Order: sequence, then structure tokens, then C-alpha cells
Amino acid sequence: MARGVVERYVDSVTSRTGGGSWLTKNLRKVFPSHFSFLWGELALYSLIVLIASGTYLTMFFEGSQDVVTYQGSYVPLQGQEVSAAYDSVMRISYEVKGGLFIRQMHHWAALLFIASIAMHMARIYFTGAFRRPRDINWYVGITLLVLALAAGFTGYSLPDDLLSGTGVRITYAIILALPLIGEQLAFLIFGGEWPGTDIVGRLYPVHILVVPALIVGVLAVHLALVWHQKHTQFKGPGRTEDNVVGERVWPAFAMKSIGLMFFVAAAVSAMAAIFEINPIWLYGPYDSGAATSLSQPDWYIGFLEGSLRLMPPWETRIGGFVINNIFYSGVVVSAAIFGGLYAVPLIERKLTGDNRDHHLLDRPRDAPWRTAIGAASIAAVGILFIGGAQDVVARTFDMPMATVTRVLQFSFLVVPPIVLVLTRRICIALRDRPGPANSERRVPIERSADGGYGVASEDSENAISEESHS
Amino acid sequence: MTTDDSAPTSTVDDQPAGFGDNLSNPVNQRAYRSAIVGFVIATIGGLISAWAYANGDTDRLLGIGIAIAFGGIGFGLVSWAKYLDLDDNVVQHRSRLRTTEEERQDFDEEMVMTGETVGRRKLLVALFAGSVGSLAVAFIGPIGSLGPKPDGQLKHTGWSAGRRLVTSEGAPISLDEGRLDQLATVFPEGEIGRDDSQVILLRVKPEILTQRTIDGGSVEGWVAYSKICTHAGCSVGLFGIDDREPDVTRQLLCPCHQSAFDPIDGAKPVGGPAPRSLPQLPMAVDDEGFLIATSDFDRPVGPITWTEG
Amino acid sequence: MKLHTRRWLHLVPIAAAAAVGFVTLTSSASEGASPYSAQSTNDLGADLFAKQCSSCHGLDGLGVEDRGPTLEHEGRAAADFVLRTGRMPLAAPNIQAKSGPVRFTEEEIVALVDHVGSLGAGPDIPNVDIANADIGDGGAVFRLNCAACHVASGAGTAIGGSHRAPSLAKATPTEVGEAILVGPGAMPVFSSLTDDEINNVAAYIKNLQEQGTTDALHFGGAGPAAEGLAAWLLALVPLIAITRWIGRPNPGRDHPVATAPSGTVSNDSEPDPDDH
Repeated sequence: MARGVVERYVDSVTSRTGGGSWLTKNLRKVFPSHFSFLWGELALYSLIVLIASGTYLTMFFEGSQDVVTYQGSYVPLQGQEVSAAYDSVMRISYEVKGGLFIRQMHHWAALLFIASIAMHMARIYFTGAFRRPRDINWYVGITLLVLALAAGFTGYSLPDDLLSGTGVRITYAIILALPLIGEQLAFLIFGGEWPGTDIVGRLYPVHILVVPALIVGVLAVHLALVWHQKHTQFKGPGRTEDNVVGERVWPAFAMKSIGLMFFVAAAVSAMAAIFEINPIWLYGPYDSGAATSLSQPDWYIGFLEGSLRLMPPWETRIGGFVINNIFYSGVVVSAAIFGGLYAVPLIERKLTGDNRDHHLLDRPRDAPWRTAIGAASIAAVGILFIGGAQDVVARTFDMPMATVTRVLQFSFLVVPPIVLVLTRRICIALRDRPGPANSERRVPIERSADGGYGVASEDSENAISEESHS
Repeated sequence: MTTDDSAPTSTVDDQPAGFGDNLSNPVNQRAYRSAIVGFVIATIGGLISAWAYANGDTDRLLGIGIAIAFGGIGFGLVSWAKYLDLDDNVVQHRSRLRTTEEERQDFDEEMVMTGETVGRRKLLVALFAGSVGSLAVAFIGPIGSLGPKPDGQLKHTGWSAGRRLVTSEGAPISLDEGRLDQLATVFPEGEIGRDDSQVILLRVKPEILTQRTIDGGSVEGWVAYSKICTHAGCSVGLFGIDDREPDVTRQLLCPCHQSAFDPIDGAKPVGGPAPRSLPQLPMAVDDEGFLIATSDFDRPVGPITWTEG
Repeated sequence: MKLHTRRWLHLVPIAAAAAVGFVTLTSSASEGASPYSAQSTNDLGADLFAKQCSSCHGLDGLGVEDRGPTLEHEGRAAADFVLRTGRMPLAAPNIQAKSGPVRFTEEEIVALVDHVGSLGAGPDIPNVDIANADIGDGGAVFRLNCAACHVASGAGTAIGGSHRAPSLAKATPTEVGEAILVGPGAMPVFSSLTDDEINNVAAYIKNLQEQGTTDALHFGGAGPAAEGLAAWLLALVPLIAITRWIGRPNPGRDHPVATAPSGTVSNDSEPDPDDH
């Protein structure tokens, strides 16, 4: 075949970088094709939608708390005094043709981004993919989660509306509650007492520059590790700790992956076209003294919201000093959750004593304790999420508020241990079920002297297989 | 998928598998047709969007057209991949990731060499570290400019003796106006909108107020509290009245985390996570019959800090 | 002649029964039968009040202990509000009043309203005019006073205890004005609002209704919690289904790697040091 245009252009780069064989080798790289391995990509492509739509929004947004009079086309706000930030978002929503659509794409994509991260994290955890050598990538991933939360929080606070402004007020209070450094740190970040005139202007560069730069950098490390360490795979005939079986990057995996990117964009666009999200014109500008009910943050901050709502009114006095209630519910609980997440590979190593490399995945039932602890943790954090919407629950089910709160507080203590025990039992029962499906999963493979793979005999010393964890 | 299980699988070393005509296979035929349909629908979607924009509809239809375009392309691409039916049983060897003893020794040699060269002159190392530390200290100044030093600002609000209570429109509150069980948000005259001075003013039947509330400065059934919730600082905007006997209750509720306070009894917390009562604004009546404050609050408003004491 | 006279006497009990039956049937049923049987007077309002309201509010409207409060200072506005929104009569004393089907005819409502208004001195039905109202000011007043309980979208929510601030989706301007003046149920009185402000708020609420802020496409106006749930259920779940279509459920099981007997399945027999 004659060398075409594409080959010549590619060659112009590879012949200047020594990358000829590198490129081809990577085009042929193998990725296993289980569908749950695509969930990380849902997050990746949501991020791409966020960056694209976000860049567009920066062309119109003004990160300033200067007071202006609204004179746009939304009648109920005409003549009202609002901040320039709020005014610019109203302009995007009501004056810029297509602006509201892009803005809503951005916000829906943010909700989807973190939901995908949650699913991806769950898949990694429950299949044991975080074990060595991918424990370092787990740490990188949790860091990405924290950065994503920071991006979301700073982002939805930019319009300086009543709802998000209330959320920033709560953040100010949590920082103030830090012992020793709280007051100084809060004054430093906010430029003085609440509300001040600086915070929106400071959240803006954090949201569009600092956090995205960190996300892109940390994500590059995350993807490089996946690429270099190669992806994990489920056990199965022919699959060993020394190989990876799947489809090649080019063209199969790339086509499907890029297709998924378009699907993610389609889902976000459909949500943005059909459903309104974050109608700041109803909340109005942030105003001292005003309040609205059903005031929740975006869903992914729900664990913190629930912690704040469900914590009983405890506070501690030490000498002349006070440890505020929201230090416990805001700082301690969050630290426990993220500390626990970071500690997952360490806990796994301690509990199993296993320091080997793992490239074959467990089915959740193969690791009953790990799965049970994970399920119980999800139950506990899930109850916090529900607690964050306890007034919505009371409203929907027509129950008294205090009853909902009590039930959730009680559930937080009682439900996770029950889930722990039940999940472990279910895993063991499923795992030890007799039948061909289970035995097929643990076929020991052996590599012969001349390199071929075959089924190992029972007394073979070279068998490559997974011991089952109990 | 129709991969014949007994056929040898390709390896990563093989040439990329060229495929002949897959259209002979009905499953692949379907995928091929799906790909065509996907791309055609996508094209139509894009045109719908363009038409919608040109005709002024930038809400639903523009977005729906774009969604159809994205979805169609995604569907087309994935169907195309399925049509191609490429081998997904390719086997690739995993290279070693662990370090060998030899690699470790090589690195150890580098470390030893560093200690013998750069690390040999301890004085230089110490001075280098000290100078970098000094540089870091130099930057504390500019970073400190981000905000003022707290200097007791949190302990004072805009209220002081003699200040009239006014609505956000600036109207003062007359002692005798209005009905029972009414509610207003007020600020100090001259400081309307000052965040730390927001006050919630209620009027209830004087007989139901407790002694603590009366001592705290209520005036003939008018009672005022800081509107800033002592939990996390939101505005306590809800006022619930329950006159169904025998438990006549009044409750101030905060919409953020559902803290509840009893305005009849000094706004003490009666539910939710708030640990302390709302500070009460002591009031009196001036010569013209309007409500005034007699002093600032007796403790800091809102959620307290470490040094509140 | 004597026969006819005796015969028409037979009609008397029948006529009496019919009269009693007619009176009984024309009065609406009410729980907690009043100990005071219906006295037929010329005052429709007083009649209805005695039959429908007095068991909880007393014949004199001054309340019955543990059953209903006094109506002395409620005024025509309060009566009009609760009757037109179907809040009264309550099915049982001491439960929370909720809007529902209207139980009276227009004529009966007018009569009852007049009667309750005559019991004491309370606010009259306001004349709410939204035609020339300032919606901008209405919005500011709404957000400062009303949104805390009724939610920025007007969707209404649970308020501590077992109270409920209802949805404003169906509130007419007059009902809005009445509620502001009367403070029905758990709602406080906002008598510090001027007439203009009341007009403006009513106009703003009408605007919210026109925007459809509490309809299904807006998730009932329930805010970020509903939006988050929608993102999971309407976006993430379909995308996960799509990944199931794109990828494989069971790659190992469906397509095991063949064990090639000749050992030709060899990969990189010498690991390439640059192997990625």
C-alpha cells in the first residue's frame, strides 16, 4: 500500500522523536472489555464536557461582587440590586442565545462527573483493583475525588445567588470553627468578616485555574499509571496474572471509547435541553437576612450536609475555649470519611497480610470482608446523604421533621453493622454455591517450558491461580 | 459475537487483523445498518439545532438537536465497532513492574554518590536549607495581606444603645402597630443590610413569654433575636405557630439544617443541631413610640469560634 | 265530608316527616354532631355556622376548649380564606388544615364570611390588584419573607413539628393577600407589609405560577436534592446501561482464550525493557 497522507504526517513527528515503535506498540495495546471498566471513562468524558462548556461560560462570567442594577429581560428581577457575578450569570441565562443551554450542560455535567466517579470508585473497591501495584493509583484517584468536589463547590458558588451564598456562609462558619487557626484562616480566605467583597472574586480563579490545573495534572498521572501498569481483568480461562486479554486500542477500543464520549455528551445535552437546573433567578441574589427552604447544596456535598443536620447539638468547652458543634460534624466527619478512603489499601494489606501484585480481579463475593465493609460504609455514608435532604423526605412522605431526623440518626448507628453482617453472609453463600459457574472461574493455568499456556494439573507446582480469600 | 472458540487467538505481535467483508454475517449486518442510521440521525440532529438557533428557539429545541447529534454519533461509532467485530481475545504479556535487586543496587549507588559529593559539605547544605527557609518566611507577608487580622470584629455588631429597629425599607417599628404573631426582619437604623446585625422581630401575646425572655429585653410582647443561626450562620427565617391546645408553641426554625429555637423562652434550642440559643436584642421604646435597642448583643452572634469563651 | 276530613289528617304525619326529612337532607353532614339542632332562621350564615362550625368553634364563635380556637379577631379575610381553599370544615379537631375540595356553594361562603366577620373585629377581605403591581419589588419581599417557608420556587415544604407550608401553585391573588393578613395555621402574620407590597407579592406569585416553577419538568420545585436524584436516575443509569451495551458482561466466560496446544501463543518471549 502506498504511503498516504496520514502515514507521512505521523512519520514527520515520530521520526523527530524516536517514537516510531512506541506509537505502534501503543496502538496495539490490549484493554479488557468488561463493561464496568468503562465507568472511569464516564467520569473522564464528563470532565471534557465540563472543560468545554466551562470555557465558553468564562467568556461571559464576571467574578466580582460589585453591586449593579439588573436590567436584563427577566422581569421579576428588573431594578434589583445584584452583584456583577449574579448579573453576568443572568445574562448568560436570559440574554445570550444558547447561553442557558450551555450553562445547564455545565451544571448537569458536574453532577454526572461526580456520580460517575462514585460508580468507578465502587467498581475499583469491590473488585480489589486497588491492591498492589495499583494502590498508588487509588491514592491518586481519591485525590481526584477531592479535587472534583472542590471544583463543584467553587463552581456552583460563583453565581452568588441566595442558595449557594448560604452554602459559602456555612463554609465560613466551618473554617471559623477550626481550633487555634480558625479565625485567622477565615479572615485570610474571605478578606475579613463575612460576607466581605472578595470571596466570589477569589473563588473564580480557584474554580477556573487552580483546581482544573490540578485535576488535569493529577488525572494525567492517573491515566499514565493505568496505561503503564495495564488494566486489570477478571479471572477466566486463559487469563492469568501475567497477561491481559482483550481488544486492541486501535481501532476497536478507541472507537467504542470515543463513541461513549459522544453518548456522555448526548446524555448531558438531553438533560440540559429538557430539565432546568439551578434557577438562580428564583433564589435571587445573596442577601443578608433572606433564606429559602429546601436549601441543599449540590448532591455530592450531601454527605457533609447530612452530617451537619444529623449531628446532635454537642459542643465542647475546654478552659475558656470552645470546640464548636460544626467542627465535629463538618471537619471531623469529613476527615474520617476521606481518611478512611485513603486508608483502603493499607487496611486491605493489614487485614489480609497480602503484599503481592494483583492483576486479576476478585468478584465481590470472593472477598466477603472487603465487600461487607464496603457495603456498610456505603450504607453509613448513604444515610448521611439522605440526612442532607431530611426536609425533602419529611415533605415527600408527610412526616414530622423531628421523626425523620431521629430515624436517620438511629439508622446511622444501627443499619451499617446489620449491612456488614448480612453482606458477608450473602457473599459467602454465593461464593460457596456448588455448580459449574464457580469452578470455571478458578481454573489454574500453567505456562509450559516452551511458552504455551495450558490447564495445570492438580499437583503442578507452576500453577498460576488465585487463592481465594476468606 | 461469533468468534470461533477453537480458533487460535491473535497476539499483540501479529499484524493488526485485516478483516474481509463482514456483511455476510447477519449480526454484523445489523450493526452496519445501525451505524448508518446513527450517523444519519446525528446529521439531522445537527441541522435541527442550526434551524432552531436561526429561528430564535434557544431553549429546548437547540439542545434537543444537539443531544440527538451527539447520541447519533455515539451510536454510529459503537455500532461501527460492533460491525467490525474485531478480536477481543488478544493476549498481551504483562511486563515486570517490581524492581530487581540489580536496579535497587544501582539506585543505592546513586544515593551514596550523592552523599559523597553534594552531601559532603554539611555547611553548604545547612546554609542552603536556611536560605530557602528565609525565603519562605519572606512570603508570609504578602500572603498575610489576603485578609486582616481578626481584632474582635466578631464580637460587635451594628447595634448600639438607642438605635432604632427599621425594616429593610427603612421604616421604624411602632410599639402599637400590627397584630399578634407577626414577624419581620429588621436592621439597625443606618446599617440596613449589615450582615451581622440582621434581627428577627416577633410580636406575641406578652403573657406567654418566660421570665428569661422578659429579662432579656422584650417589650410588651415584642421580642427580638439575632437572625443568624448559632449552628452554621444561615438566616433563621421560619416562624411556626401552633395554637392547638394544650401545647401552644412558637418556633423559630432555620431552613439550612432544621435547628429549632423557642422564641418564648429566650430562643433556646429545642431541636436540630444548634447548640446554643440565639442572642436576644434588648429593646426599649423611644420618645416617639418606636422600638429601639438598648445595647449591642451580650454575646457574639452566629456560630461561635474557638476563642469565644 | 266526614270521610275526607279524616283522610286529610293522615297526611299530617306524612307532611311532618317530609318536612323533617327535607330539612335533614338539605343540611350537609358534619362529624361531631352538634348538640344544638338546626334552628331555622332567616340568617343563612348563622344557620350554617351553627351546623358546620359551632361544634369546634362554639355557637358564639368564641372557641371550644381542646376543639377549636376563638374566631373573634379572625375577620372576613380568614373565613374567606379557609372556606375558599377547602381548609374548613376540618375532618377532626386539632389536625393540620390542608387545602382541599371546597365544601360550600358561593352563596354559602358569602353568608358564612359575613357571619364570622360579625363576630368581632378582624381583617377584611383585601382588594388585591396585581394589574399594576411591581413584580420586582414583589420578588424582593417574597424572598425576604416568604421563601423561607414556601421555598423560592413556591413549592412549599415541611416546617418543624408536623406543620407544612403549602405549595403556592394554585393560590389566587386574593388568597395570597388573605393569608398575609391573617396568618392561617402555622403561618405568622405579616401585617407590616403595606397594601402595595401585598399586591406586588401576589403578582410575583402569579408570575411563578406562569413559569411553572413547581411542575414536573422542574422536579416539583424541590431544588438541588431532586436535581441530584435526577442526575443519577435519568443520566447515570442510562449511561451505565449503554456501557453494558458497549462492553461485555462476562469476557472471560463468554470468550475463553483458547489453549493452543502447539505453544504458538507466545508473547514477547523476552520482555522489552521499553514495554509499556
